Amino acid sequence: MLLYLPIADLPINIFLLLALGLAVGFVSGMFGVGGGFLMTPFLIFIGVSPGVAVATVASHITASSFSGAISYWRRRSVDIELVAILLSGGLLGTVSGVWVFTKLRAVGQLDVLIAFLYLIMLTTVGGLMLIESGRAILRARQQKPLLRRPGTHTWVHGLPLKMRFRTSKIYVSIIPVWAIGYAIGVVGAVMGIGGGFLLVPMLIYFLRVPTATVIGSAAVLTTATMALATFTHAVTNHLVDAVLALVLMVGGVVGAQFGARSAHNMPAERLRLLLGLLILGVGFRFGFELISQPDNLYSIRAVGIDT
Amino acid sequence: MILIVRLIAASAFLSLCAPAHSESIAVTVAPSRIAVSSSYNGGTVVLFGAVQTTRLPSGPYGVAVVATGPRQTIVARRSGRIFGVWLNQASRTFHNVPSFLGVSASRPLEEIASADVLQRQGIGLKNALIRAGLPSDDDPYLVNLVNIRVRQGLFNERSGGVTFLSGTVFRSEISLPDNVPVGDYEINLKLFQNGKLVGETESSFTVVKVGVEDFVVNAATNYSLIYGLAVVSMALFTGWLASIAFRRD
Repeated sequence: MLLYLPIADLPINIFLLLALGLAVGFVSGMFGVGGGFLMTPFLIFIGVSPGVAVATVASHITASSFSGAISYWRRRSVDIELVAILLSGGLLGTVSGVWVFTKLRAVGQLDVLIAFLYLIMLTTVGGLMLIESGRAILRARQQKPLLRRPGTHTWVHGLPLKMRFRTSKIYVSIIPVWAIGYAIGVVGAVMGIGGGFLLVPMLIYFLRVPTATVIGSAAVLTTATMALATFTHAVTNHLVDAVLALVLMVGGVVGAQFGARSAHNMPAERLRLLLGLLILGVGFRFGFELISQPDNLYSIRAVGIDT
Repeated sequence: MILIVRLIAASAFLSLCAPAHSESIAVTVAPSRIAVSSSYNGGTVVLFGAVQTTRLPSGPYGVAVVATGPRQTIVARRSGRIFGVWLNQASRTFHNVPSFLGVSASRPLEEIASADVLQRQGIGLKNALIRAGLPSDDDPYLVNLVNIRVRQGLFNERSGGVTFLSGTVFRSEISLPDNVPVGDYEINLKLFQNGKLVGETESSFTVVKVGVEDFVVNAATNYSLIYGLAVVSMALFTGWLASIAFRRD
């Protein structure tokens, strides 16, 4: 059954979209990520223009991260102070991201930049995850205990403007917190991702946010930045497709529940290995797209209606 | 004497002004309004026409129909390789490009009239574009623009798209692809006989988005503030609903 997507301006099989939502939702539930880094590329691969894909997926991530945020909130694993500082950077970052997006679209380099950013980000993150989880699996096999050095300080801890985050029990400068929020905001708005799979490692490695509060806080931040991204994309570029968004959301939230359940039966480092492979695969697909010669060197875009 | 000269001059003037066409054509278009709904995947506009003539036919008629969609400004870009990556480099902007162009005729165009006449009357993809004000040179940007539009099904040229049901009654179909742009479409119909234009008429139809599509597009473009808030609320509501429905504690 074909469903005509009003803003994307093309008919797409509704079952394909639901299946896409379910599959991405399953993966996102399984790995505890928003799934934007898979959803946006898949939409682009099936013919939705990158602009519409990025803007619409923002609303899909709003839904999935909000449902996550609620359940973490109930378990009181959200650090409100941390989220507040992250958000002050994140919201500004989102607005800058949409601004960059609009400018690039006007000069016709948006699609290339999106593909390029995906390539860099996905291969880096995927590669790191692969190495890290590979080591963890080896360590588990050799029965070596994991070396933990609590209280280790990095250069990040030498920065001024320190603040005590009581829920997370950390004492760090607000500069890196703000900067991380800003970076996630920009990247999220330009690439159509929530950035959870970037944010969580950054919070753990740079700020030493404990695992108890990191995912909940990330989910709250992502909900806010993606809600703002959806709104700003809708107002400035008119690219948010509500029909597409609704179908993806429904598939996504249902899929996430099944994913979360099946994740319980799998060891964490194997899960990370799988996710790393998946991320790397999507990254290489973009790399291939960038270096292979397009079928047609010419492309056209309607920029206005003449009377 | 003066009177006679005046009469001759007047009649010469009249014959210059009077329409050169001897035939009038009655056409009807159905449907005159194409509704793009959520189940839309292409549509057809059927045109019926009848030649009304008092003369004895001096040869078979030839009919050419040109359907033109709303005009757009199009930016055509060419990509090139920089450091191994394909980037958009140069671009050229074209104004007044028809978003849809369907040319159909009762016979191959060259059998209907000479290339000269076809160009003057704007019949055929290229001629219609020139008539719309686009450059007539073989600019690669324009050539590729046309090729892309042809591949998208938005530009097409079909000889044999018009069929005569009798000597004077004919029928034509204008097929609209699923990506058809909304707006007002003009139909120009030209009647030829022995390579000469003997009649012409115009008609039109409209493509509109209806139902949810129309509502969404209208809201997204004209009420984007409310639309943005609505989409965000919808997302939050869906997320909240999911957290309630799948609550495990």
